[in-house]
Amino acid sequence: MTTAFEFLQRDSRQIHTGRRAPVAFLASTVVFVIVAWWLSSSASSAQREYARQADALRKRQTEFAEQATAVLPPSGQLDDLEMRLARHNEMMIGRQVSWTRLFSLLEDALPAEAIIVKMENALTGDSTFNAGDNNFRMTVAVENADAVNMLYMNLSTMRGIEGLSFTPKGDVTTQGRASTIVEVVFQFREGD
Amino acid sequence: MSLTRSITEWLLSRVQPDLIELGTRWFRLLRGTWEDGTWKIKTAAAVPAPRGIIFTSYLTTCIFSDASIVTAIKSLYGGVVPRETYATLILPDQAFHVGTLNLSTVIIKANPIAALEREVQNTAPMPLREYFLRFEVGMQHGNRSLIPFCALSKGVIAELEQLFQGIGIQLLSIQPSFIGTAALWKQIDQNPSPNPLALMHLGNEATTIGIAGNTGLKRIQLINVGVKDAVNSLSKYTEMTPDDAESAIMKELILLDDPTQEAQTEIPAYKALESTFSTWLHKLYGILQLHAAEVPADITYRQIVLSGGGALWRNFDRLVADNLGLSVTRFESVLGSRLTSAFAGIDVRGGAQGFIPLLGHLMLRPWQLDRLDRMAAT
Repeated sequence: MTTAFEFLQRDSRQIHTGRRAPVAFLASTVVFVIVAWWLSSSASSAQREYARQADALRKRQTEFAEQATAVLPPSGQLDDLEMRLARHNEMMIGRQVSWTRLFSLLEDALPAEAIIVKMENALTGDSTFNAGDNNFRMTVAVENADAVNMLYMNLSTMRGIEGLSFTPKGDVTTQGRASTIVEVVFQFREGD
Repeated sequence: MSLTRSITEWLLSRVQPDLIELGTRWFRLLRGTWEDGTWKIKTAAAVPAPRGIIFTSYLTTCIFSDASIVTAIKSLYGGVVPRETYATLILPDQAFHVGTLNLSTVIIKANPIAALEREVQNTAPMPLREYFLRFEVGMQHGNRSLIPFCALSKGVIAELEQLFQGIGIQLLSIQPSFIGTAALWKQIDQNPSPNPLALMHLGNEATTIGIAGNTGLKRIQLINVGVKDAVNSLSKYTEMTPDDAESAIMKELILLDDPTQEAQTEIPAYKALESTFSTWLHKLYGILQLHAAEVPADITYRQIVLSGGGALWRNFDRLVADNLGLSVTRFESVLGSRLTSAFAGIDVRGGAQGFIPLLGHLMLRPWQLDRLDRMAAT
Protein backbone atom coordinates (compact mmCIF):
# COMPACT_ATOMS: atom_id res chain seq x y z
CA MET A 1 0.00 0.00 0.00
CA THR A 2 0.90 3.68 -0.24
CA THR A 3 3.23 3.36 -3.20
CA ALA A 4 0.70 2.69 -5.93
CA PHE A 5 -1.36 5.85 -5.73
CA GLU A 6 0.88 8.32 -7.56
CA PHE A 7 -1.12 10.45 -9.96
CA LEU A 8 1.48 12.71 -11.51
CA GLN A 9 2.45 11.40 -14.92
CA ARG A 10 6.12 10.62 -15.28
CA ASP A 11 6.56 13.03 -18.20
CA SER A 12 5.42 15.85 -15.95
CA ARG A 13 8.49 15.45 -13.74
CA GLN A 14 10.74 18.18 -15.08
CA ILE A 15 13.62 20.31 -13.98
CA HIS A 16 12.42 23.80 -13.28
CA THR A 17 14.83 26.16 -14.94
CA GLY A 18 12.88 29.38 -15.37
CA ARG A 19 14.35 32.01 -17.68
CA ARG A 20 17.42 33.07 -15.81
CA ALA A 21 19.10 29.67 -15.90
CA PRO A 22 19.25 29.41 -19.75
CA VAL A 23 20.43 33.03 -19.97
CA ALA A 24 23.11 32.33 -17.38
CA PHE A 25 24.10 29.18 -19.27
CA LEU A 26 24.38 31.06 -22.58
CA ALA A 27 26.34 33.91 -20.99
CA SER A 28 28.75 31.52 -19.28
CA THR A 29 29.18 29.60 -22.56
CA VAL A 30 30.06 32.81 -24.44
CA VAL A 31 32.51 33.80 -21.69
CA PHE A 32 34.03 30.34 -21.78
CA VAL A 33 34.49 30.45 -25.58
CA ILE A 34 36.06 33.91 -25.44
CA VAL A 35 38.44 32.90 -22.64
CA ALA A 36 39.35 29.69 -24.46
CA TRP A 37 40.08 31.62 -27.69
CA TRP A 38 42.18 34.16 -25.78
CA LEU A 39 44.14 31.43 -24.01
CA SER A 40 44.69 29.59 -27.29
CA SER A 41 45.99 32.68 -29.13
CA SER A 42 48.18 33.61 -26.14
CA ALA A 43 49.66 30.12 -26.10
CA SER A 44 50.38 30.26 -29.84
CA SER A 45 52.13 33.63 -29.65
CA ALA A 46 54.11 32.49 -26.59
CA GLN A 47 55.21 29.40 -28.50
CA ARG A 48 56.32 31.48 -31.48
CA GLU A 49 58.26 33.84 -29.20
CA TYR A 50 59.93 30.85 -27.53
CA ALA A 51 61.00 29.39 -30.90
CA ARG A 52 62.40 32.77 -32.02
CA GLN A 53 64.40 33.26 -28.82
CA ALA A 54 65.65 29.64 -28.92
CA ASP A 55 66.94 30.20 -32.48
CA ALA A 56 68.65 33.43 -31.44
CA LEU A 57 70.23 31.62 -28.48
CA ARG A 58 71.54 28.80 -30.68
CA LYS A 59 72.98 31.36 -33.12
CA ARG A 60 74.75 33.22 -30.34
CA GLN A 61 76.05 29.91 -28.95
CA THR A 62 77.58 29.10 -32.35
CA GLU A 63 79.08 32.56 -32.57
CA PHE A 64 80.62 32.23 -29.10
CA ALA A 65 82.06 28.82 -30.02
CA GLU A 66 83.61 30.25 -33.18
CA GLN A 67 85.03 33.21 -31.27
CA ALA A 68 86.46 30.88 -28.59
CA THR A 69 88.04 28.69 -31.27
CA ALA A 70 89.62 31.75 -32.86
CA VAL A 71 90.99 32.90 -29.50
CA LEU A 72 92.67 29.54 -28.69
CA PRO A 73 96.29 29.11 -29.88
CA PRO A 74 97.07 26.22 -32.33
CA SER A 75 97.57 22.77 -30.72
CA GLY A 76 101.17 22.52 -32.03
CA GLN A 77 101.98 25.75 -30.31
CA LEU A 78 100.47 24.46 -27.05
CA ASP A 79 102.45 21.19 -27.26
CA ASP A 80 105.62 23.16 -27.89
CA LEU A 81 104.83 25.37 -24.91
CA GLU A 82 104.27 22.33 -22.75
CA MET A 83 107.61 20.77 -23.80
CA ARG A 84 109.44 23.97 -23.07
CA LEU A 85 107.82 24.25 -19.67
CA ALA A 86 108.85 20.67 -18.87
CA ARG A 87 112.41 21.31 -20.03
CA HIS A 88 112.70 24.47 -17.94
CA ASN A 89 111.31 22.70 -14.93
CA GLU A 90 113.83 19.88 -15.41
CA MET A 91 116.71 22.35 -15.68
CA MET A 92 115.65 24.14 -12.50
CA ILE A 93 114.57 21.32 -10.19
CA GLY A 94 115.98 18.28 -11.95
CA ARG A 95 114.27 15.46 -13.85
CA GLN A 96 110.91 14.53 -12.47
CA VAL A 97 108.32 12.00 -13.41
CA SER A 98 104.64 13.00 -13.42
CA TRP A 99 102.88 9.92 -12.08
CA THR A 100 99.56 11.47 -12.96
CA ARG A 101 100.51 11.68 -16.62
CA LEU A 102 102.07 8.20 -16.49
CA PHE A 103 98.93 6.59 -15.11
CA SER A 104 96.80 8.58 -17.51
CA LEU A 105 98.86 7.14 -20.38
CA LEU A 106 98.71 3.63 -18.95
CA GLU A 107 94.93 3.87 -18.54
CA ASP A 108 94.65 4.75 -22.21
CA ALA A 109 97.05 1.98 -23.21
CA LEU A 110 95.66 -0.89 -21.14
CA PRO A 111 92.78 -2.80 -22.76
CA ALA A 112 89.84 -3.86 -20.58
CA GLU A 113 91.18 -7.44 -20.38
CA ALA A 114 94.52 -6.32 -18.88
CA ILE A 115 95.42 -5.39 -15.31
CA ILE A 116 98.72 -4.21 -13.79
CA VAL A 117 99.85 -6.77 -11.24
CA LYS A 118 103.13 -5.20 -10.19
CA MET A 119 105.22 -2.07 -10.95
CA GLU A 120 108.87 -1.65 -9.92
CA ASN A 121 111.96 0.35 -10.66
CA ALA A 122 113.65 -1.31 -13.66
CA LEU A 123 117.12 -0.25 -12.54
CA THR A 124 116.96 -1.29 -8.88
CA GLY A 125 114.35 -3.98 -9.01
CA ASP A 126 112.60 -2.36 -5.99
CA SER A 127 109.18 -0.84 -5.76
CA THR A 128 110.65 2.47 -4.58
CA PHE A 129 111.18 5.42 -6.90
CA ASN A 130 113.10 8.65 -6.61
CA ALA A 131 111.75 11.81 -8.18
CA GLY A 132 113.70 11.35 -11.40
CA ASP A 133 113.40 7.58 -11.76
CA ASN A 134 111.79 6.95 -15.08
CA ASN A 135 112.68 3.32 -15.79
CA PHE A 136 109.72 1.11 -15.09
CA ARG A 137 109.10 -2.62 -15.09
CA MET A 138 105.46 -3.57 -15.10
CA THR A 139 103.95 -7.00 -14.70
CA VAL A 140 100.68 -7.13 -16.52
CA ALA A 141 98.11 -9.95 -16.53
CA VAL A 142 96.30 -10.13 -19.86
CA GLU A 143 93.35 -12.42 -20.58
CA ASN A 144 93.99 -13.31 -24.21
CA ALA A 145 96.36 -12.90 -27.13
CA ASP A 146 94.33 -10.13 -28.79
CA ALA A 147 94.55 -8.05 -25.65
CA VAL A 148 98.34 -8.73 -25.49
CA ASN A 149 98.73 -7.48 -29.04
CA MET A 150 96.56 -4.44 -28.41
CA LEU A 151 98.58 -3.60 -25.27
CA TYR A 152 101.85 -3.83 -27.19
CA MET A 153 100.49 -1.74 -30.05
CA ASN A 154 99.19 0.97 -27.71
CA LEU A 155 102.41 1.22 -25.73
CA SER A 156 104.66 1.18 -28.78
CA THR A 157 102.80 4.03 -30.47
CA MET A 158 102.41 6.09 -27.36
CA ARG A 159 104.46 9.27 -27.09
CA GLY A 160 106.67 9.37 -23.96
CA ILE A 161 107.19 5.57 -23.83
CA GLU A 162 110.69 4.64 -24.96
CA GLY A 163 112.89 1.57 -24.88
CA LEU A 164 109.89 -0.71 -24.78
CA SER A 165 110.63 -4.34 -23.92
CA PHE A 166 107.65 -6.68 -24.06
CA THR A 167 108.20 -10.21 -22.73
CA PRO A 168 105.40 -12.81 -22.24
CA LYS A 169 106.17 -14.91 -19.12
CA GLY A 170 103.60 -17.69 -19.17
CA ASP A 171 100.05 -18.41 -18.09
CA VAL A 172 98.76 -17.92 -14.54
CA THR A 173 95.43 -17.54 -12.81
CA THR A 174 94.84 -13.99 -11.67
CA GLN A 175 91.79 -13.02 -9.63
CA GLY A 176 90.16 -16.33 -10.54
CA ARG A 177 90.68 -15.94 -14.29
CA ALA A 178 93.25 -17.53 -16.62
CA SER A 179 95.60 -14.94 -18.02
CA THR A 180 99.03 -14.47 -19.57
CA ILE A 181 101.70 -12.64 -17.61
CA VAL A 182 103.63 -10.09 -19.65
CA GLU A 183 106.62 -8.20 -18.40
CA VAL A 184 106.82 -4.70 -19.84
CA VAL A 185 109.95 -2.60 -19.40
CA PHE A 186 110.05 0.99 -20.64
CA GLN A 187 111.40 4.40 -20.02
CA PHE A 188 109.00 7.22 -19.47
CA ARG A 189 110.04 10.58 -20.87
CA GLU A 190 108.07 13.75 -20.82
CA GLY A 191 108.50 16.94 -22.79
CA ASP A 192 111.20 15.61 -25.11
CA MET B 1 15.13 5.69 -20.36
CA SER B 2 16.61 8.43 -22.50
CA LEU B 3 19.71 10.35 -21.51
CA THR B 4 17.68 13.51 -20.98
CA ARG B 5 15.30 11.65 -18.70
CA SER B 6 18.22 10.13 -16.80
CA ILE B 7 19.81 13.55 -16.28
CA THR B 8 16.46 15.00 -15.23
CA GLU B 9 15.90 12.27 -12.67
CA TRP B 10 19.48 12.59 -11.39
CA LEU B 11 18.99 16.31 -10.84
CA LEU B 12 15.56 15.76 -9.29
CA SER B 13 16.99 13.25 -6.85
CA ARG B 14 19.01 16.11 -5.38
CA VAL B 15 16.16 18.50 -4.74
CA GLN B 16 14.29 18.65 -1.46
CA PRO B 17 10.66 19.27 -2.37
CA ASP B 18 8.10 20.99 -0.19
CA LEU B 19 4.87 19.24 0.73
CA ILE B 20 1.76 21.24 -0.07
CA GLU B 21 -1.66 20.13 1.02
CA LEU B 22 -4.64 21.78 -0.61
CA GLY B 23 -7.63 21.23 1.62
CA THR B 24 -11.03 22.83 1.65
CA ARG B 25 -10.45 24.25 5.13
CA TRP B 26 -6.68 24.90 5.14
CA PHE B 27 -3.80 25.09 2.69
CA ARG B 28 -0.68 23.74 4.36
CA LEU B 29 3.03 23.81 3.58
CA LEU B 30 5.62 21.56 5.17
CA ARG B 31 9.35 21.51 4.51
CA GLY B 32 11.72 19.21 6.33
CA THR B 33 13.22 15.77 6.46
CA TRP B 34 12.61 12.40 8.06
CA GLU B 35 15.86 11.01 9.42
CA ASP B 36 16.56 8.32 11.99
CA GLY B 37 12.93 8.02 13.00
CA THR B 38 12.39 11.72 13.68
CA TRP B 39 11.13 14.68 11.73
CA LYS B 40 13.27 17.75 11.28
CA ILE B 41 10.80 20.44 10.31
CA LYS B 42 12.30 23.55 8.73
CA THR B 43 9.10 25.32 7.71
CA ALA B 44 5.44 24.76 8.43
CA ALA B 45 2.69 27.14 7.45
CA ALA B 46 -1.08 27.07 7.09
CA VAL B 47 -3.50 29.56 5.58
CA PRO B 48 -7.31 29.34 5.34
CA ALA B 49 -8.40 27.82 2.05
CA PRO B 50 -10.14 30.28 -0.28
CA ARG B 51 -13.67 29.62 -1.47
CA GLY B 52 -12.67 29.19 -5.10
CA ILE B 53 -11.60 25.56 -4.81
CA ILE B 54 -13.87 22.51 -4.73
CA PHE B 55 -12.64 18.95 -4.56
CA THR B 56 -15.03 16.22 -5.59
CA SER B 57 -14.81 13.16 -7.79
CA TYR B 58 -18.01 14.31 -9.52
CA LEU B 59 -16.37 17.16 -11.44
CA THR B 60 -13.59 17.41 -14.02
CA THR B 61 -12.47 20.71 -12.56
CA CYS B 62 -11.60 21.97 -9.10
CA ILE B 63 -10.49 25.57 -9.48
CA PHE B 64 -13.10 28.25 -9.73
CA SER B 65 -11.05 31.28 -8.77
CA ASP B 66 -7.44 31.22 -9.91
CA ALA B 67 -6.48 34.50 -8.30
CA SER B 68 -7.60 33.66 -4.77
CA ILE B 69 -5.94 30.23 -4.88
CA VAL B 70 -2.68 31.63 -6.24
CA THR B 71 -2.70 34.28 -3.52
CA ALA B 72 -3.31 31.66 -0.84
CA ILE B 73 -0.52 29.38 -2.09
CA LYS B 74 1.90 32.31 -2.35
CA SER B 75 1.00 33.39 1.17
CA LEU B 76 2.23 29.99 2.36
CA TYR B 77 5.66 31.21 1.21
CA GLY B 78 5.20 34.66 2.74
CA GLY B 79 4.01 36.19 -0.54
CA VAL B 80 6.86 35.22 -2.86
CA VAL B 81 7.56 31.70 -4.06
CA PRO B 82 11.32 31.11 -4.14
CA ARG B 83 12.88 30.21 -7.49
CA GLU B 84 13.53 26.54 -8.24
CA THR B 85 10.76 25.38 -5.94
CA TYR B 86 9.66 21.77 -6.19
CA ALA B 87 6.66 20.38 -4.39
CA THR B 88 4.73 17.21 -3.84
CA LEU B 89 1.01 17.85 -3.74
CA ILE B 90 -1.38 16.24 -1.27
CA LEU B 91 -5.06 16.44 -2.12
CA PRO B 92 -8.02 15.79 0.18
CA ASP B 93 -9.48 12.32 -0.16
CA GLN B 94 -12.82 13.54 -1.53
CA ALA B 95 -11.02 14.72 -4.68
CA PHE B 96 -10.63 11.04 -5.54
CA HIS B 97 -13.07 8.31 -6.30
CA VAL B 98 -11.92 5.90 -3.61
CA GLY B 99 -13.04 2.40 -2.81
CA THR B 100 -12.10 -1.22 -2.32
CA LEU B 101 -13.05 -4.17 -4.50
CA ASN B 102 -13.22 -7.76 -3.40
CA LEU B 103 -12.42 -9.73 -6.54
CA SER B 104 -11.79 -13.36 -7.33
CA THR B 105 -8.07 -14.09 -7.52
CA VAL B 106 -8.69 -16.08 -10.73
CA ILE B 107 -10.16 -13.02 -12.45
CA ILE B 108 -7.32 -10.84 -11.21
CA LYS B 109 -4.75 -13.23 -12.63
CA ALA B 110 -6.60 -13.56 -15.96
CA ASN B 111 -7.31 -9.91 -16.82
CA PRO B 112 -7.17 -7.63 -13.80
CA ILE B 113 -7.42 -4.30 -15.63
CA ALA B 114 -10.63 -5.12 -17.47
CA ALA B 115 -12.25 -6.54 -14.34
CA LEU B 116 -11.16 -3.57 -12.27
CA GLU B 117 -12.36 -1.02 -14.78
CA ARG B 118 -15.72 -2.74 -15.02
CA GLU B 119 -16.14 -2.82 -11.25
CA VAL B 120 -14.92 0.73 -10.69
CA GLN B 121 -17.17 2.04 -13.44
CA ASN B 122 -20.15 0.62 -11.54
CA THR B 123 -19.53 3.14 -8.74
CA ALA B 124 -17.69 6.01 -10.44
CA PRO B 125 -19.83 9.10 -11.02
CA MET B 126 -18.17 9.91 -14.37
CA PRO B 127 -17.06 7.74 -17.31
CA LEU B 128 -13.85 5.95 -16.43
CA ARG B 129 -11.97 7.59 -19.31
CA GLU B 130 -12.22 10.87 -17.37
CA TYR B 131 -10.03 9.44 -14.58
CA PHE B 132 -6.54 8.23 -13.99
CA LEU B 133 -7.09 4.98 -12.12
CA ARG B 134 -4.57 3.63 -9.62
CA PHE B 135 -4.97 0.46 -7.62
CA GLU B 136 -3.05 -2.08 -5.64
CA VAL B 137 -3.68 -5.79 -5.28
CA GLY B 138 -3.85 -6.04 -1.53
CA MET B 139 -4.72 -8.66 1.04
CA GLN B 140 -5.61 -12.10 -0.28
CA HIS B 141 -8.21 -14.11 1.65
CA GLY B 142 -9.28 -17.50 0.42
CA ASN B 143 -9.67 -17.31 -3.35
CA ARG B 144 -10.35 -13.59 -3.33
CA SER B 145 -8.26 -10.44 -3.01
CA LEU B 146 -8.99 -6.97 -1.72
CA ILE B 147 -8.08 -4.27 -4.21
CA PRO B 148 -8.07 -0.71 -2.91
CA PHE B 149 -8.41 1.71 -5.81
CA CYS B 150 -8.23 5.44 -6.25
CA ALA B 151 -9.19 7.51 -9.30
CA LEU B 152 -8.56 11.19 -9.96
CA SER B 153 -10.05 13.27 -12.75
CA LYS B 154 -7.61 13.97 -15.60
CA GLY B 155 -9.05 17.46 -15.85
CA VAL B 156 -8.22 18.18 -12.20
CA ILE B 157 -4.63 16.99 -12.63
CA ALA B 158 -4.15 19.16 -15.72
CA GLU B 159 -5.69 22.14 -13.97
CA LEU B 160 -3.48 21.78 -10.90
CA GLU B 161 -0.33 21.28 -12.97
CA GLN B 162 -1.08 24.43 -14.93
CA LEU B 163 -1.83 26.38 -11.76
CA PHE B 164 1.44 25.42 -10.06
CA GLN B 165 3.41 25.96 -13.27
CA GLY B 166 2.05 29.50 -13.34
CA ILE B 167 3.13 30.11 -9.75
CA GLY B 168 6.62 28.77 -10.46
CA ILE B 169 6.35 25.54 -8.49
CA GLN B 170 7.31 22.32 -10.24
CA LEU B 171 5.21 19.38 -9.08
CA LEU B 172 6.91 16.05 -8.48
CA SER B 173 4.02 14.06 -7.08
CA ILE B 174 0.25 14.13 -6.53
CA GLN B 175 -1.14 11.76 -3.93
CA PRO B 176 -4.24 11.45 -1.75
CA SER B 177 -4.08 12.45 1.89
CA PHE B 178 -4.99 9.05 3.40
CA ILE B 179 -1.73 7.51 2.15
CA GLY B 180 0.25 9.62 4.63
CA THR B 181 -2.11 8.97 7.54
CA ALA B 182 -2.05 5.20 7.02
CA ALA B 183 1.73 5.08 6.59
CA LEU B 184 2.28 7.20 9.67
CA TRP B 185 0.05 4.99 11.79
CA LYS B 186 1.96 1.91 10.66
CA GLN B 187 5.15 3.67 11.76
CA ILE B 188 3.94 4.72 15.22
CA ASP B 189 1.65 1.79 16.09
CA GLN B 190 2.75 0.84 19.59
CA ASN B 191 1.03 -2.55 19.72
CA PRO B 192 0.96 -4.02 16.21
CA SER B 193 -1.29 -7.04 16.08
CA PRO B 194 -2.88 -9.30 13.44
CA ASN B 195 -6.29 -7.92 14.43
CA PRO B 196 -7.28 -4.99 12.22
CA LEU B 197 -8.15 -1.50 13.35
CA ALA B 198 -10.16 1.31 11.79
CA LEU B 199 -8.51 4.60 10.87
CA MET B 200 -11.23 7.24 10.74
CA HIS B 201 -10.11 10.58 9.35
CA LEU B 202 -12.79 13.24 9.84
CA GLY B 203 -11.97 15.72 7.10
CA ASN B 204 -13.67 19.01 6.41
CA GLU B 205 -15.96 17.75 3.64
CA ALA B 206 -15.58 13.97 3.78
CA THR B 207 -14.56 11.21 6.12
CA THR B 208 -12.12 8.51 5.12
CA ILE B 209 -12.32 5.14 6.81
CA GLY B 210 -9.48 2.71 6.38
CA ILE B 211 -9.15 -0.81 7.75
CA ALA B 212 -5.51 -1.37 8.58
CA GLY B 213 -3.59 -4.42 9.65
CA ASN B 214 -0.02 -4.81 10.75
CA THR B 215 1.01 -5.07 7.07
CA GLY B 216 -0.69 -1.85 6.00
CA LEU B 217 -4.01 -0.61 4.69
CA LYS B 218 -6.43 -3.35 3.64
CA ARG B 219 -9.56 -1.41 2.79
CA ILE B 220 -10.34 2.22 2.14
CA GLN B 221 -13.78 3.81 1.87
CA LEU B 222 -14.98 7.40 1.68
CA ILE B 223 -18.06 8.92 3.32
CA ASN B 224 -19.22 12.23 1.91
CA VAL B 225 -19.99 13.65 5.32
CA GLY B 226 -17.43 15.82 7.02
CA VAL B 227 -16.76 18.32 9.76
CA LYS B 228 -18.27 21.03 7.62
CA ASP B 229 -21.67 19.28 7.62
CA ALA B 230 -21.75 19.10 11.40
CA VAL B 231 -20.59 22.71 11.76
CA ASN B 232 -23.20 23.92 9.26
CA SER B 233 -25.96 21.98 11.03
CA LEU B 234 -25.03 23.49 14.37
CA SER B 235 -24.56 26.92 12.89
CA LYS B 236 -27.98 26.82 11.25
CA TYR B 237 -29.65 25.48 14.39
CA THR B 238 -28.03 27.88 16.83
CA GLU B 239 -27.71 30.80 14.38
CA MET B 240 -24.02 31.07 15.16
CA THR B 241 -21.29 31.79 12.64
CA PRO B 242 -19.56 28.63 11.35
CA ASP B 243 -16.36 29.58 13.22
CA ASP B 244 -18.27 29.99 16.48
CA ALA B 245 -20.13 26.74 15.87
CA GLU B 246 -16.83 24.91 15.27
CA SER B 247 -15.39 26.39 18.43
CA ALA B 248 -18.52 25.37 20.36
CA ILE B 249 -18.32 21.74 19.21
CA MET B 250 -14.71 21.62 20.26
CA LYS B 251 -15.06 23.20 23.67
CA GLU B 252 -18.68 23.17 24.85
CA LEU B 253 -20.27 20.20 26.52
CA ILE B 254 -22.43 19.17 23.59
CA LEU B 255 -21.44 15.55 23.96
CA LEU B 256 -21.58 14.37 27.56
CA ASP B 257 -18.86 12.33 29.17
CA ASP B 258 -21.27 9.40 28.84
CA PRO B 259 -23.13 10.08 25.60
CA THR B 260 -25.42 7.08 26.12
CA GLN B 261 -27.19 8.83 29.00
CA GLU B 262 -30.73 9.98 28.36
CA ALA B 263 -29.67 13.50 29.29
CA GLN B 264 -27.64 13.60 26.11
CA THR B 265 -30.72 13.85 23.93
CA GLU B 266 -31.95 16.82 25.94
CA ILE B 267 -29.04 19.04 24.87
CA PRO B 268 -30.40 21.25 22.06
CA ALA B 269 -27.13 21.48 20.15
CA TYR B 270 -26.90 17.71 20.12
CA LYS B 271 -30.21 17.50 18.29
CA ALA B 272 -28.72 19.59 15.51
CA LEU B 273 -25.74 17.28 15.25
CA GLU B 274 -27.49 13.98 15.83
CA SER B 275 -28.18 13.18 12.19
CA THR B 276 -24.54 13.85 11.20
CA PHE B 277 -23.22 11.77 14.10
CA SER B 278 -25.69 9.05 13.21
CA THR B 279 -24.51 8.97 9.59
CA TRP B 280 -20.90 8.63 10.69
CA LEU B 281 -21.65 5.86 13.14
CA HIS B 282 -23.84 3.92 10.73
CA LYS B 283 -21.36 4.19 7.88
CA LEU B 284 -18.45 3.24 10.11
CA TYR B 285 -20.39 0.30 11.53
CA GLY B 286 -21.41 -0.77 8.03
CA ILE B 287 -17.84 -0.72 6.75
CA LEU B 288 -16.59 -2.69 9.76
CA GLN B 289 -19.36 -5.25 9.25
CA LEU B 290 -18.75 -5.45 5.51
CA HIS B 291 -15.05 -6.06 6.00
CA ALA B 292 -15.65 -8.67 8.68
CA ALA B 293 -18.15 -10.43 6.40
CA GLU B 294 -15.81 -10.44 3.41
CA VAL B 295 -12.70 -11.30 5.39
CA PRO B 296 -13.70 -13.72 8.18
CA ALA B 297 -10.17 -13.65 9.62
CA ASP B 298 -10.65 -9.96 10.46
CA ILE B 299 -13.76 -10.38 12.58
CA THR B 300 -12.11 -8.99 15.73
CA TYR B 301 -11.20 -5.33 15.63
CA ARG B 302 -8.56 -3.84 17.91
CA GLN B 303 -9.67 -0.24 18.07
CA ILE B 304 -10.69 2.85 16.16
CA VAL B 305 -8.17 5.65 15.61
CA LEU B 306 -9.60 9.13 15.04
CA SER B 307 -7.79 11.87 13.15
CA GLY B 308 -8.71 15.09 11.36
CA GLY B 309 -10.61 18.11 12.63
CA GLY B 310 -13.49 16.08 14.07
CA ALA B 311 -11.16 14.06 16.27
CA LEU B 312 -10.63 17.15 18.42
CA TRP B 313 -14.28 17.49 19.38
CA ARG B 314 -14.96 17.08 23.02
CA ASN B 315 -16.16 13.55 23.90
CA PHE B 316 -16.59 12.53 20.26
CA ASP B 317 -14.27 9.57 20.91
CA ARG B 318 -16.57 8.46 23.73
CA LEU B 319 -19.59 8.72 21.44
CA VAL B 320 -17.95 6.39 18.91
CA ALA B 321 -16.65 4.01 21.56
CA ASP B 322 -19.97 3.70 23.40
CA ASN B 323 -21.97 3.17 20.22
CA LEU B 324 -19.68 0.68 18.50
CA GLY B 325 -18.29 -1.09 21.55
CA LEU B 326 -14.68 -0.65 20.52
CA SER B 327 -11.89 1.26 22.21
CA VAL B 328 -11.26 4.59 20.51
CA THR B 329 -8.04 6.58 20.55
CA ARG B 330 -7.00 9.82 18.96
CA PHE B 331 -4.12 9.78 16.49
CA GLU B 332 -2.74 12.96 17.99
CA SER B 333 -2.53 11.47 21.49
CA VAL B 334 -0.62 8.42 20.19
CA LEU B 335 1.84 10.71 18.41
CA GLY B 336 2.10 12.72 21.62
CA SER B 337 5.53 14.11 22.30
CA ARG B 338 6.84 13.24 18.84
CA LEU B 339 4.40 15.71 17.30
CA THR B 340 5.26 18.33 19.90
CA SER B 341 8.99 17.94 19.44
CA ALA B 342 8.68 17.97 15.63
CA PHE B 343 6.92 21.34 15.77
CA ALA B 344 8.94 22.75 18.67
CA GLY B 345 9.37 26.47 18.13
CA ILE B 346 7.03 26.50 15.13
CA ASP B 347 3.64 28.10 15.53
CA VAL B 348 1.11 27.13 12.86
CA ARG B 349 -2.47 28.18 12.42
CA GLY B 350 -5.01 25.42 12.92
CA GLY B 351 -2.66 23.42 15.14
CA ALA B 352 0.09 20.90 14.47
CA GLN B 353 -2.37 17.96 14.42
CA GLY B 354 -3.57 19.15 11.01
CA PHE B 355 -0.12 18.22 9.63
CA ILE B 356 -0.47 14.52 10.49
CA PRO B 357 -1.07 13.38 6.86
CA LEU B 358 1.79 15.61 5.68
CA LEU B 359 4.15 14.12 8.27
CA GLY B 360 3.28 10.69 6.89
CA HIS B 361 4.02 11.82 3.34
CA LEU B 362 7.28 13.42 4.44
CA MET B 363 8.25 10.03 5.85
CA LEU B 364 7.28 8.27 2.61
CA ARG B 365 9.03 10.75 0.30
CA PRO B 366 6.63 10.19 -2.60
CA TRP B 367 8.78 12.26 -4.97
CA GLN B 368 11.45 9.57 -5.16
CA LEU B 369 11.67 7.92 -8.57
CA ASP B 370 11.75 4.35 -7.30
CA ARG B 371 8.29 4.89 -5.93
CA LEU B 372 7.05 5.83 -9.39
CA ASP B 373 8.79 2.81 -10.81
CA ARG B 374 6.99 0.58 -8.38
CA MET B 375 3.76 2.27 -9.32
CA ALA B 376 4.47 1.55 -13.00
CA ALA B 377 5.21 -2.06 -12.14
CA THR B 378 1.92 -2.33 -10.34
